[in-house]
Amino acid sequence: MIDTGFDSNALYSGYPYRCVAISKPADGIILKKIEYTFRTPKRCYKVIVEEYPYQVFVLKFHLCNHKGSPHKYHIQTDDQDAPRVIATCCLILLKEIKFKYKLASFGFIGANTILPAKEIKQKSLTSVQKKRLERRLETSENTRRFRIYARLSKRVFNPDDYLHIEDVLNSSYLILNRLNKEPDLVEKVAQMFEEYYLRDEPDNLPSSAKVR
Amino acid sequence: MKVVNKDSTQINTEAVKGTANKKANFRVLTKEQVEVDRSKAYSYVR
Repeated sequence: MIDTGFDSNALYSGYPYRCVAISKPADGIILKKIEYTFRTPKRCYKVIVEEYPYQVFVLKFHLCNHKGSPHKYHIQTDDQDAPRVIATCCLILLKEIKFKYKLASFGFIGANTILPAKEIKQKSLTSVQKKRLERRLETSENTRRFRIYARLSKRVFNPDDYLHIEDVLNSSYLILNRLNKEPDLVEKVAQMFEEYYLRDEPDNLPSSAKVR
Repeated sequence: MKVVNKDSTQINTEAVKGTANKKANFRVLTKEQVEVDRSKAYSYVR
């Protein structure tokens, strides 16, 4: 159960969060970067909201102690706390962005899960464990994160007010505000997304950045 | 190649191979398509 925060139920609702930094990157296309943090009983999470041209906002989140890892968006914690973590991100998106920027549009990529090699190379697995492991191995197509976030987006953003655009092959999703009357907004945002996100996957990083 | 994250967890590189030169393949959903999924989502999103 993911509670968006408006029918508050402590069991499922988001954690308290705080804004820790607002910056304007000097170069690149990002207009503004807002950083939030929140704590779960076990972990500290960082949420980054980036503003792009045409009032497009992209939310990303990862564990604070993974901030230097190129795989920070691909790691799964297995804390069984995903609903409340996602609900917190949802709260930030709604309360801090959607209600403040009336023309805001959104986009995200559901990263594929990358399992630790020691988990993949386990030898003495039963057939049930093998099947479970195979289910968890993902390519970047139609990832589990993408399926969850896409369904959540459809629930949160009314199709009368927002245009929903999906790319299942790359697990990316755009939610464009129908109030934004920018001509050819769909093409412009899709092109921007392709240019700055789909080519920014971990395997496109220089090999030196991969080895830590 | 072994890839290790900050917590010294070895990461499988096979999973991220072959995604270079990606092309977007966006598909605009109709209101009806979104509504169908919205009705399913009520069971676990409030």
